[in-house]
Amino acid sequence: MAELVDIPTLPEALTQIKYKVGKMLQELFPDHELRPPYDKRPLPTTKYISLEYSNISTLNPQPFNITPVFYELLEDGTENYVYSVKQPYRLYFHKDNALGEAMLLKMMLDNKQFWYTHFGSDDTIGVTEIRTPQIRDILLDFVELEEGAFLDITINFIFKVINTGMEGINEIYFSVTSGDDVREDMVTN
Amino acid sequence: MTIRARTLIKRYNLPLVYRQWVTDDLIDDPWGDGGSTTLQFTKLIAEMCTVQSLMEEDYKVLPAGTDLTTTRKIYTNSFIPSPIEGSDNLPAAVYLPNEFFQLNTTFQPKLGGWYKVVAVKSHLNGVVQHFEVVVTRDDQPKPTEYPDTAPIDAEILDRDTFLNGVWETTWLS
Repeated sequence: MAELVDIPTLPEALTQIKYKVGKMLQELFPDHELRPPYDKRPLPTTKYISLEYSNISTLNPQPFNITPVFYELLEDGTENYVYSVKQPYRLYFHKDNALGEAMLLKMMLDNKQFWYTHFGSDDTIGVTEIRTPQIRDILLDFVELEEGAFLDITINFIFKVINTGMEGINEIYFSVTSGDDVREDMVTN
Repeated sequence: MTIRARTLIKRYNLPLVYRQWVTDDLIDDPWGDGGSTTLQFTKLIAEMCTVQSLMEEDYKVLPAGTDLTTTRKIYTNSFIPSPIEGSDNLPAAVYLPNEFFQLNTTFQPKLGGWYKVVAVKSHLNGVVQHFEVVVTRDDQPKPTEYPDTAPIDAEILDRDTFLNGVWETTWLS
């Protein structure tokens, strides 16, 4: 289990996921270019893999929710939340043999050695669900098709949120009859 | 009219920039969006230009959503690259300051700024080789995507100082 200090915040976690997935793809497909979402560069003429964040309901039984899996309030007023999140990522393979490469990645992620090489060192991030690759060709200039295929993977990760300056409720006072104001001397006790 | 006669309409120079992506291999950044890919600017001067409004037939080929009030056609003798698949450049851009449009009104028109290239049509077989470029205004220019225009803005006082090219040495320095 991860210590609280090792758990990343949400922006750190998302950066780390993208980095880990990118390194994995670079090792498996060294001659492919990787393209992040919202990239302004012109598309490459060689093979490339683009990343999309997708929200697929069947992939996401526990969507981004606001129920923490861990909560604590320390005496100095620090509040620690830890959330566990599933996020689907779509890896889109472009150009020749796209489906074959997506299938290769699926096979490799099912391999324990490969999985632990890339995701075993960090116990806050892991690929949990690997879908079947699907063909999604792209129509180029209304004349010819370009091969394309995507693979959806789900990444489970945890992140923390820290609030400071919070005050805990130590005691709760009730009045004897309902509707009465709380007496001052009871509150300041 | 293949000869671009200088006597008919005034020709002037415009600030032009080529924008190219440069990759730094030393930065470990698999997706190329964490600082390893930066824009490199090449400042140039587009020579012998005229800025014109669009003809009706130009409307038919423009990308959907192009704002016709801020889309212009520029004729120039300088080479303007158009972005193509597999290249590493962003569209080239031309700077047209507010002074160029010469509108003395308290209502500030949404006209001055960086105009980026949408389409390039080359006329190579005329007496003078020239390029016909459709540009559209970048309404949300990011400071990282265009060079700083503050030095030449200080020198452009009105339309005449802009058209006479007072800013050229500052721009290229």
